Amino acid sequence: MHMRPQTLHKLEILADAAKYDVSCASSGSDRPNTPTGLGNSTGMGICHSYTEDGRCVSLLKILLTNHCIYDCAFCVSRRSSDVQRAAFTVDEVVELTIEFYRRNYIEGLFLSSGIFKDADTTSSRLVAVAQRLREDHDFNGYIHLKVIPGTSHDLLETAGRYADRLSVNLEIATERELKRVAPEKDHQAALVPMGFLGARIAEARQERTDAVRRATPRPAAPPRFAPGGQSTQLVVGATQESDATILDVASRLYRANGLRRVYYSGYVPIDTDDRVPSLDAAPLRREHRLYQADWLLRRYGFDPHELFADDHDDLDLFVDPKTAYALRHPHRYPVDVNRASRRQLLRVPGIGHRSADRILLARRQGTVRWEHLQRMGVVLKRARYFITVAGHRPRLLERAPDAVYARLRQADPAAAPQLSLF
Amino acid sequence: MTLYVYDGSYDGLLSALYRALQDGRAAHEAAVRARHVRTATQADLFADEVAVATNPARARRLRDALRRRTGSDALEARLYYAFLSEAEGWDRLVADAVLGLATTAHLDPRLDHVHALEALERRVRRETHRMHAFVRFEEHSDHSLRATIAPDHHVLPLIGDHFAARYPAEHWRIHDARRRLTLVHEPDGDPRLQITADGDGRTAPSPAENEFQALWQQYYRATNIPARRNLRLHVQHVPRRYWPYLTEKQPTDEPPPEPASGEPPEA
Repeated sequence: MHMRPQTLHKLEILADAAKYDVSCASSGSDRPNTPTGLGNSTGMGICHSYTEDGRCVSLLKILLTNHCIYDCAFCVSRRSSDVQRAAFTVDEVVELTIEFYRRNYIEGLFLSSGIFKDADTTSSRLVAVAQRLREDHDFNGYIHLKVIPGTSHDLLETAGRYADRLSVNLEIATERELKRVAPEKDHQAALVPMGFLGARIAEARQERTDAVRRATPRPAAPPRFAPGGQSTQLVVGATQESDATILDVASRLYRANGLRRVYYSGYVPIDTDDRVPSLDAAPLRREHRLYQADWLLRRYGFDPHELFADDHDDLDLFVDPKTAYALRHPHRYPVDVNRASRRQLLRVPGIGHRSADRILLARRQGTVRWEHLQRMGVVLKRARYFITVAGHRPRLLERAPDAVYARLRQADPAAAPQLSLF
Repeated sequence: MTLYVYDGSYDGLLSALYRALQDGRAAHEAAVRARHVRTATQADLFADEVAVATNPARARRLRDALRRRTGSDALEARLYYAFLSEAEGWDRLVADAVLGLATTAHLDPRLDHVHALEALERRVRRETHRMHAFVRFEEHSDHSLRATIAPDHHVLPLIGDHFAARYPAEHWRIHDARRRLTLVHEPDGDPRLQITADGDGRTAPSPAENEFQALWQQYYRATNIPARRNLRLHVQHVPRRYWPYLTEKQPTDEPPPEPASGEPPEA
């Protein structure tokens, strides 16, 4: 095993180059283990460690190679970038995955790559790794493969057979801006595979559900196709799009292609290209607000247009988007905690799904009082201005939007905590 | 007031509560104490003491009754988590919940002891989840995988199934250094999974083990984004008390890297 010192150095380069892809999800798949196999990917994802910047480490996230024929201004591996280049062999990636997994370091593999000849050549290498893991090593841990825009449908079909999740990165929300920073690319090359995957994932899932419902004895289940679904990533801050544009694109992608997640990657300026702004720091606060807004779209039944004031295209950086919404609609508040519907409760800043459930349960036993709320998980610091409850009735002056904004804005820490991304 | 003394085990407490219910005691009329616990509360001093022998059949009947009463396994699980928490006063909370259910079918989330039980369950579940994440196996020369942990709560009984599903064909053991117990998995064993009082059984790490640890440490270093460094958040996710058992948190002597191959992969 004398190849390992070299592997060590490749790992340094190719893990470093892969870290700007923010997805680390390892949940939501459906792949139980076999009696003699290694691993499973059935439960919720596990973060095995965290980086010093607080991001979840769930998967071995590496590039197969950082050689790339493209020259995208926002990408650290672009052709013109002066970085060390390296390439793993298929064997090396397979061995690292298996041995890291056995030691419980990881949930699986997230394999991406620079494009070293053309889309299909690169993709077939990525697929080969997944195939070897599944077929030669009976590996049932999580595999996320990056799909290179422009990959043929045949290869996507094979990729879906072995991977739990597939993702095609749109990277830049509008075609106009994409053309500016990556003239060799276009949206179409990403949207075509995304559409194909969306349809195949839905189809395979339907077939498997139908098979379970049908007849006994149960027939062999139809094959899986990327049971963990597909996701994509948008780089934020490298180009000029507003938050409204970004969230509009995201919500259309959710609808059209059944995406599990859209990831927002605050652009980290390193070794800056002239075509992108040279920021002092990654726009972490903005990224955080986008995730909060995305969450409201997916889990809280908000429409994109509800998240913005009429004359504003960007999210407020100083209060979270739900608070901002509540402050723009003072006539809908305060909400009576003892009478409100679940939907109304969920629109209260500081009340989430879990605390709403607890409130509804407690209401069956009797009146909910102010002093009960904290232990039910309600964040009183925010909720107090937007609710009435036995023992608490904010006065009109107290809940005046300007006053509340001033208070909550003050209370907001200088650096917004990052979400843990899983 | 009656003080029911039991042997400190979970079934022991349930046996004592079974007896208290038979005696028709309401929550405020009964206290419980594990035999080895010496500290007595004011109430204990003036109580009649009844020593209750552990009776697994009665414990099971009480569990079944709780399940019927509440219509789910959730409550019973919550009480068991309270036991595994090893938190001071866990038995008092369980007693309040069980005796309280003599008069109502649901635990009222507004009550203090219900809230406290919920909090204990949350803590134990959280550490269980953390142990799923933070166990670090080392491969030993006999190919077995061995790990050491020192959790706050007694989670060893809760983590076995998870690892058995992941590594069904491997011989592995997880040693709880704080409680001196070891969870042992033998693929062909009967039972396959058991907790023993043995130590972690000294064998030497395999020849390749150091290399993979070094690779993992390298990976961990490379994934950091210094521009985003946020140690407060980091420590919130990975509390310092777990660091001694995490491979990536061990000091390393970095070997000088050799040049990587600069060629793109063959097409």
